Amino acid sequence: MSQPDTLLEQFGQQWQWPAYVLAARFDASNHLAFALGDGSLQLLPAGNPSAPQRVEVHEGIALSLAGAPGGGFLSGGDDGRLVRVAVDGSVQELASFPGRWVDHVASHANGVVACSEGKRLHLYAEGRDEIVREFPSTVGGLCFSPDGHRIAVSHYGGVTLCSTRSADSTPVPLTCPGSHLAVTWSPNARFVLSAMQEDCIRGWRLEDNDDLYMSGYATKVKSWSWFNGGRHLATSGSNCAPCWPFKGRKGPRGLAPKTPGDTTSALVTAVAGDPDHPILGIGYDDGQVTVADIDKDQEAVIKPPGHGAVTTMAWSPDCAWLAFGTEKGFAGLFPVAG
Amino acid sequence: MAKVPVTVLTGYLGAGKTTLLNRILSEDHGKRYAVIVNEFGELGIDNDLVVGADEEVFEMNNGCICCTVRGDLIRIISGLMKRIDRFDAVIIETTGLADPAPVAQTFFVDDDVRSKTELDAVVTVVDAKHLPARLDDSPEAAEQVAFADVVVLNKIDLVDDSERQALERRILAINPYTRIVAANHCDVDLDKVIGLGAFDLERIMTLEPEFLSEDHAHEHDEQVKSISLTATRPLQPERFETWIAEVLRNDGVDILRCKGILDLLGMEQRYVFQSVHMLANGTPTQPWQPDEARHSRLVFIGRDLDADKLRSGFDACVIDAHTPREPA
Repeated sequence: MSQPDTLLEQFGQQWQWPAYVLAARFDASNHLAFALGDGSLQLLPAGNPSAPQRVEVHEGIALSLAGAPGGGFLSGGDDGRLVRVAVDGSVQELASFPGRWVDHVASHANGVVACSEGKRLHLYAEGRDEIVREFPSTVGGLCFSPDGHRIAVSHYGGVTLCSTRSADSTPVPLTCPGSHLAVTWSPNARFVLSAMQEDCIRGWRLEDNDDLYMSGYATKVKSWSWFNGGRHLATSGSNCAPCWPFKGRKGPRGLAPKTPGDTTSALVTAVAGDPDHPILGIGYDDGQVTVADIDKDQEAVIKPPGHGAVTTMAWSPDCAWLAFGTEKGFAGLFPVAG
Repeated sequence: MAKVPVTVLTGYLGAGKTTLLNRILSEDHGKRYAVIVNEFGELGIDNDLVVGADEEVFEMNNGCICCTVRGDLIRIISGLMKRIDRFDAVIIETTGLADPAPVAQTFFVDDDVRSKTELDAVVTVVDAKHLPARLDDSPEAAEQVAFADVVVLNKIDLVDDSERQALERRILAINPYTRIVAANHCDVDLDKVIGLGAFDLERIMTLEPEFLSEDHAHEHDEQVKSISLTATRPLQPERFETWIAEVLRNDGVDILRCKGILDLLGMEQRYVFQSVHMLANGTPTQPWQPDEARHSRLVFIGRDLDADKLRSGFDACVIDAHTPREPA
């Protein structure tokens, strides 16, 4: 008896590439890019059955990938280059830092582009001079505020909120001892959260600096996703995907997270949720990918274990597609509408 | 997938670290190395995968006050491990003044680093002519020797035999389980410095300190020194565990490294133990042979160690003469 096809084989598309899949990202117009460990990007419009277009981008690897304002992608590499890749595959170098690694890139729909190399943040906007800020240690992550007027920068000792419009305005420090890695700003603009080296999440409610602390993770939180209209933050780093509630004024203080995807045999390594609905994609270190409805407590296996740990996951802005990739070069795109 | 071995090169400026690094890279071994250096672009390192590091030492908030790690290494190693053009080994060159502890601790503490790589050995290059002065005037020099699995005693032609013997005694007084390799222009056999598995518990088969500091009259009163403890009767496992945990918790700041091969009551295998400051791990390895004299040996290397206190604590873990070897 032959194995029944997986849901991914029946309804989605899948690819096997020779290199680690570092990141999957959608731009605002539902174009999808995968960054691979050989320095290339694979580009395709979601829903188009044709083969992805391979574009050579970096000499080493892309360290960070983001959607670009107005469409296309931004990629920062260990060759010290910040590049913009249009959806037709054309590559334009925006900045170059020879001998450095461009660790993080981010952008906002208002046109501002940010990157960091080592301790320095660089902000670029049309018609304005570049803004450069230096931090006490290497930048761990970047995230724009929802309105794009500020950017949160995580580093050793805390997170700093900086203006994206003026080099002269005084930054706001959010201090907390330890090494802060990724940083995220809640869609309602009220909370800033950082994932720490110590397998936990620190957070600040900006109106009064009230701090949050979420722990219990088995390892570092390397993937997280705001979903369900910004009411939940899903996180990796445990044997389930803790989803912290951010509906009320207090955020998750005193509340337990929902814990979809609970398993005893694997660790959640990547998450991405439906921007508008309570549906979450969960990827594990054994290669399994599931989709869970956190309100109905229902789960479906999209892809069974195999092909290496899931390293990245993204949900399209139109809520219709879930993309993911693994450390062994396997990638999938699955229709999730309806 | 096999873990990628990592060699750490330490040593004072001018001792010959870069010479050794270039020797390792230029030897015709067919291996591909990734090299992490502290100052990118410094004098020619002949390799196509050289990454500059910033030596960012971070404290970990894990309840262990001396637990520091190198944030830059976590970031760089995680990045390197995603490349398609994989390499056989990583070499980390530290600055002359670097403390080796945060580097070693990074390999104990960080999940990403630990899952993909393993510390192979700490190799310290010293200048035979200038080492005595360095040991006298800088604590870092003694720490680098204390952490070394191998000391390359470089520029050996510049000292005579008696100076050389005094140097070797002094190095072994600080670190009795290091291996000393004499060299000129770092002309050492590469199999003496790379691929050693010095941190691999399965491979720590013998621990025969060539020199027990307690038995030797020092010419120098070293701040960093070693204490070697031995027992011929087995240790009571729970007592040992409680004691060593307490010792490392209370004095781990001053205990730079500790290694031991132990005969635990009721265990047919050797129990191998090692620590870097407060971070420790231990595992049963090869079985004791029937014709072999079982014994325990534990070596502490550190600053201002209280030898009597350590010895009495260790002795209290040894079962008394009336207890049978096998638990009832």
